[in-house]
Amino acid sequence: MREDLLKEQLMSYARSAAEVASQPGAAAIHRRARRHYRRVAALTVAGVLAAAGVGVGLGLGRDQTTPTVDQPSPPVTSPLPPASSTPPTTSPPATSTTGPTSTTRAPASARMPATFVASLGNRLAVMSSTTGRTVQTLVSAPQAQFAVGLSPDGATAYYSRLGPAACDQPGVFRMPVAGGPAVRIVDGESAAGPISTSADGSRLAYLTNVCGANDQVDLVLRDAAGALLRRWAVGPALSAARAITASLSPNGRAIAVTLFDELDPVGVRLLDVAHDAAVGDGRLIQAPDPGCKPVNALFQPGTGRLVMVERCLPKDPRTDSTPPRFTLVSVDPVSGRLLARGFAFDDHSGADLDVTTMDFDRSGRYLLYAVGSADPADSQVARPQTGTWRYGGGRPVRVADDRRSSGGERITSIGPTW
Amino acid sequence: MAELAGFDEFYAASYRRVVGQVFALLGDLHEAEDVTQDAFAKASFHWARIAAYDQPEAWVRRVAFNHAYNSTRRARRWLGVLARHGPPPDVPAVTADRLDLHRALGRLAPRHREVLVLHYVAELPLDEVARQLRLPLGTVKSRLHRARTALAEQVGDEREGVANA
Repeated sequence: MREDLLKEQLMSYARSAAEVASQPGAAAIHRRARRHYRRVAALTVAGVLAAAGVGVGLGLGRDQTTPTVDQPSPPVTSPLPPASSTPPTTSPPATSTTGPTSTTRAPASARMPATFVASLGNRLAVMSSTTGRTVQTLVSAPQAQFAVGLSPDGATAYYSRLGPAACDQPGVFRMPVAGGPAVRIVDGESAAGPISTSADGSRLAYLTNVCGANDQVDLVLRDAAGALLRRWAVGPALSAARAITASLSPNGRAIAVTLFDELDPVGVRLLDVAHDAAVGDGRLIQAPDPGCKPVNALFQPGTGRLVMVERCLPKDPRTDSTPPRFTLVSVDPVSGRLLARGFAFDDHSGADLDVTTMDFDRSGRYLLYAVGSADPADSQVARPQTGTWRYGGGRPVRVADDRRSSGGERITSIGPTW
Repeated sequence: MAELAGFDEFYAASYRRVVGQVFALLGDLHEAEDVTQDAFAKASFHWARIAAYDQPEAWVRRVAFNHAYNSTRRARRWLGVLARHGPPPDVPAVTADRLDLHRALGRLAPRHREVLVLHYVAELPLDEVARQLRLPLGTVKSRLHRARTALAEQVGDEREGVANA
C-alpha cells in the first residue's frame, strides 16, 4: 500500500470519528476530574484502614510505612523479608528445583552495600547507595545504555549494550568493578535485560536482544566464562507473549521468567533448568492476590523465596478509575502461597508505571528496584514514584530520581544491581 | 481556578484531534470518547503542572493511550463481534473501504497500531514517535514496516474475500 494513500485513509478514518464525537463542555471535564479524585481519596482512606488490619494480622510493628511520595499513598505494611508466622510449604521435594525455602528472615544485621552498579545516561557506573552519586565510571559510550549484572561477591560486572548499538557488535562483557579491562565472554549475542547470577557466581542467565532480521528472543544459561549451558526459545519479540526478566534461583537449578502478553503481565514461569525443554513447560506461578499480576519476579538469596511485584487493576479499568496498585510480595516457589508483603504504592499519574528491574543484595536483606513510566512527560518532570529505590523494610528510599542532570542525562538508572 | 487558566482553550482546541487518534487505536468511538475525556480530566486536575510542558497534548494522548490499552481486551472482543455481525450503526460514515481498514486495524497488535497512529494520524516524525514511546528508532521503523505490511495484506485479504463472496 502506498504510504501517502495509507496516511490519507488513516487520517480520514480518524477525522470521521473526531467530527461526530461528542464533546462535553470543559465544566463537565472539571467535574469528572473532581469525581475521580474524590473516589481515589476515599479509596486511599479505605486502603490505610485495610493495611492497618493486615499489619496487625501479621504481628508487625506500626513503623512500616510506604514510599516517600508527594501524593496520596496508602501505607502498607510489612518490611521484607519479614518473619513469617506460617512456615512455607517445602513439599513435594521432587518438584522443588529452587532449593529449600527458608522460614527465617535474612540476617537483620547484614550491612547494606555501600554501592550499586547501574546504567546511567551513557555510562555504566558504580553509584553510592546512600547519595545516588556516581562513585566510578566503568564504561562510557555515546548514546549507550547497558544491561548489567553483578557477581554475588560484587567484584565482577557483566554487561551488554542495549538498543540498536547492541546489534553493531553484539556481545556480553565481564570486567572487574575495581577497575581493569573488559573481556568479551560472549560474541554475537547481547543481553536485553538484567543479567542474573547464581549464588555461587558460576552461572549467568539472561534474555537475548533482538538484532536485525532475527526477531527471536531466547533465554540462555551460561557459565561465568560465557560457555553456553542451555538455550530456550521464548519466541518472536513481537509475538503475543514475551518474557521481560529472568532470575536464577540461588542454587542455579531454576529460572523464574516473568511473562507478558503484549502489555499485560501473564505470570511467572518457573523453569527446571535440567528438565524443561521450553519456557512454556515451566510451572506457572501467579500473583497471590486476586485481580493482580506479577510484573517482575526474582529469587531472594538466602531464603530461596520468590519475591515479586504484583500490579493490581480494578475489574473494569474503563469504568473504574481506581489507580493501578503495586505491592511487593514474597511467595513460596513450590506452592505459590503468599508468605509476606512489603512496600506498596499506587500509580495515580496514569503514566503506566512499571517496576522495570529489581535486585537483592548478596544477603537478601536489601532490595534495589527501578520504577519507570511510559509517559513522555517524564522527560520533563520527576514523577513521585519513578526512579531508583532501595528497600530494607520500612520506608523505601529513593536513591536517584528521574530529573535530568545539568549535563542533560537521565539520572534514572537502568538495571540497578548490587 | 486561577491554576486552570488556559485549560479550557487547550481542551477545546485539542479534544477532537486526540479523540480521533484514540479512535484509530481502539476502533470504538464510545470507548475513545470515554478514555479521552478521562485523560483530559486528569490533565485538568494536574493542569498547573502540565500547562508548563512543551506539549501538553502529548501528555494527554499518552494517558489516553494507556487507558485504551487497559481496555484492549474488551476492544478485541468487540472486534470479534464486529467481524461476525458487522459494525453497529453508530460507527461513523462506514464505507466498504473504511470497514476494511477498521477490520484490518483491529487485527494488528496494539503496539503496531500505536506506531501507525502516532506517525500517520498524529503526524509525528519517527524520531519523535521513538522518543514518546521510549523505543529505539530502529524498533519504531521495524514496527511501522511490519504494521504497514500486515495492513496491506489484511486489506487485500478483505477485498479478495468480498470479491469471492
